[in-house]
Amino acid sequence: MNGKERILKTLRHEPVDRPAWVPFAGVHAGSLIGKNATEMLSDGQNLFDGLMQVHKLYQPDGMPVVFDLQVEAEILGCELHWAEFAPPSVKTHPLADTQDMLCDCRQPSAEKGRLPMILDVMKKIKTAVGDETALYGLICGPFTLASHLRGNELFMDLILEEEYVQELMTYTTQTALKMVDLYADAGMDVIAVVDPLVSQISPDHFTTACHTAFKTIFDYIRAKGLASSFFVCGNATRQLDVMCETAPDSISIDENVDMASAKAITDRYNIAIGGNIPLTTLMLHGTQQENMKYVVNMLDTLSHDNLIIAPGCDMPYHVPAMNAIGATQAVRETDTTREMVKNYEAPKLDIEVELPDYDNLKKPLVEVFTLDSATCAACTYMMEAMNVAGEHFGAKIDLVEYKFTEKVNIARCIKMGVTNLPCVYVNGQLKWSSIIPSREELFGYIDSLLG
Amino acid sequence: MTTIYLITGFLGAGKTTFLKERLLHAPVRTGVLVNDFGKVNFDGLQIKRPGMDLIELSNGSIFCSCLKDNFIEGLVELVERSLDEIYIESSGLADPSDMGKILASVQLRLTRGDFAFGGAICLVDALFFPKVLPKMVAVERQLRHSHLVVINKCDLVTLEQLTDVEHVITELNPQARILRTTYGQLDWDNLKPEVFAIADQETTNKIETRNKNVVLQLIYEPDEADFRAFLSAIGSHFFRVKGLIRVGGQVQKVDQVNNQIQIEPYPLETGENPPAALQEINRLVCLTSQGLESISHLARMADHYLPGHFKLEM
Repeated sequence: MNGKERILKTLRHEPVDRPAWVPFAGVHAGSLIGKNATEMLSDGQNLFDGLMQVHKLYQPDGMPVVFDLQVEAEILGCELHWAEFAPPSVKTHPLADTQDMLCDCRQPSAEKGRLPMILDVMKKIKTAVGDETALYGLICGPFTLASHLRGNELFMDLILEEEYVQELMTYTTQTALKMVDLYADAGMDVIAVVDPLVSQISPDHFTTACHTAFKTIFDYIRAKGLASSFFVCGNATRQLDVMCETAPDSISIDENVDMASAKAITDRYNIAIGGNIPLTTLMLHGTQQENMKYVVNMLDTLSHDNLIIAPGCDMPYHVPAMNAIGATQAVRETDTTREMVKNYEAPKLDIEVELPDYDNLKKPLVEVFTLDSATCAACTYMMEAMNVAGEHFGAKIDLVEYKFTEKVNIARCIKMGVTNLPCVYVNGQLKWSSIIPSREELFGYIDSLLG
Repeated sequence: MTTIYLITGFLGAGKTTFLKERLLHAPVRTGVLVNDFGKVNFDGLQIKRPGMDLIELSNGSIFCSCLKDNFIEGLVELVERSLDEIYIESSGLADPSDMGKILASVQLRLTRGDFAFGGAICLVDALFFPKVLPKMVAVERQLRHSHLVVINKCDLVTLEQLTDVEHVITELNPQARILRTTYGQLDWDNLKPEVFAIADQETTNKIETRNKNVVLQLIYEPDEADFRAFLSAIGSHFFRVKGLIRVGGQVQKVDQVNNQIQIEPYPLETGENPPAALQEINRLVCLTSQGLESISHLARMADHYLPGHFKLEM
């Protein structure tokens, strides 16, 4: 059984010889060939070379061709902020100040934005490794794309302007369907609908605002004879049931969700689940043995049907290759790896962090804990919401972001007892976890603190 | 001086048949601008002849901001060719309320030639008119802004029904002349430039109200019974389905309005224009004004009735 067969059988819920392995190497692929994130995501040759290196080193059963949720947004008129070690992020939202709808003539087609380059690389990768490796075409989910277009106002619209949200979601769903057409024609085997922001709204809001959109996309993918996956990040524990109800072939989660409990839910719907090797604490900052041990433990504790082993999300740029290789080894040679690491003890994180004196603050302190607001869309919009408050209240409050990508902040999270990202603490108390507050709620709360 | 006529009428009312008849009998040099709502300009395909002054605008309404600029440019181009008559066949969902503004823009952009507006001719399907009028705002607008109303398919209704239809039309637009016909045939002497006011209102054809269209491409010839079952299954979600399909061993024209399915052999006129038509064979354009559920429904029904035989395209 080759990798592609393993993935496709798993997504059809058929038995396989071992769980499939899908390393999500987006910008990280650049680190393997000495190119930065911008060079990777804007140049076809670099992208192709990086992917071939991923294929060689990590021996994937399935692999994404490009992991960048801003491709569609860029075509639809969002300006992007390019980064050296992360995918670009959305800088401007074309519908931020208007409820007019974009023209259908703006919808993606093969010659727009970076698509000529991406489609070309997809075809080349298909020729190079497509017989033995399942290729994933990643599209931006309709809800995250709606927030790219509208900005943080979208969360207010969810409450006050349901009809407008429906219109916008219809538009972004049509974008997704266009992307499915294009990626299907370029030879992708699996279409992954990546919608990190889904974890930031309540299951009820998901059902009213998003269910039809996702159901339509997954029905459409199925009718085209392809397999589908629903990628989410953040603490989507509460959303898993409603996500399953949209009937994707698989769901992929990150470390914010407990894999065993999540699998119990997806198993009920006979949907495959992928995940959720911790990106930062383990893949970025851990040792190779820790990565091996973690994956072996996953394989020893989870049932192997309907299971895909994968990083929680797009691997950070600087993940040491040896860590991903360790994970690869654990999936491919589980018994040998188990023996290798059975006596291994992980080194303790030895960093002292001093917490603020929360009882004696001079003004309200808003602390935002993120994976990284530059790379994780859910974190971007949580941080953006807090920045709006920062601008509004100015010197009356203190606002600080702690990115989990830095070791010192991991230590701070441990000391504070932070369990899910992104989240917001105000004056040392957890106030919002995963759910992005509307501006009204946020301002109202801070006003109440200011008296 | 070029005379411009606008042809309106709801889906299936017989605009293309009417235009084909007119072109057959037009004694003068004629240009045509055809607007089809779907991605495939099926109406243009039926009219197209070598050397014809034809402009096709697809995938939206010419009165919507998406296509309005192309519409104006197209008209300018045709007027500048110094033709005697230009016929604009609008899509069935066109709301021509701002035709006056469009013609004013054409006038401003002209660098040579001149034109006069001969009027809007609205085709009405005698049988379906009573059902369609209350549901589609565009149909009411088409009638209100027409100068000549041609009630088509008169052979399908009783005289009493026909009188009722005429009565409703007169109430909506007392100034318009009304003619009765079948198969779009007219005594063409009746066609002469009209003189009263040109529509000048906001159109309801907006980006937000645009319909969605999906193309179903058949990659293998389907079983005819399965194909008909598929069409029946999507009728409640897609108000119009049309295209040329190879089914039952021959090329057939499929034309479905709501639940009325029409499938009939389509002669590919050899030597005249087969290549253009051949390229579009087996592509079925499906139009819906409903939400995303309709696309979901189409995907599931296609999978159910035509498994492995089709490819969907947005």
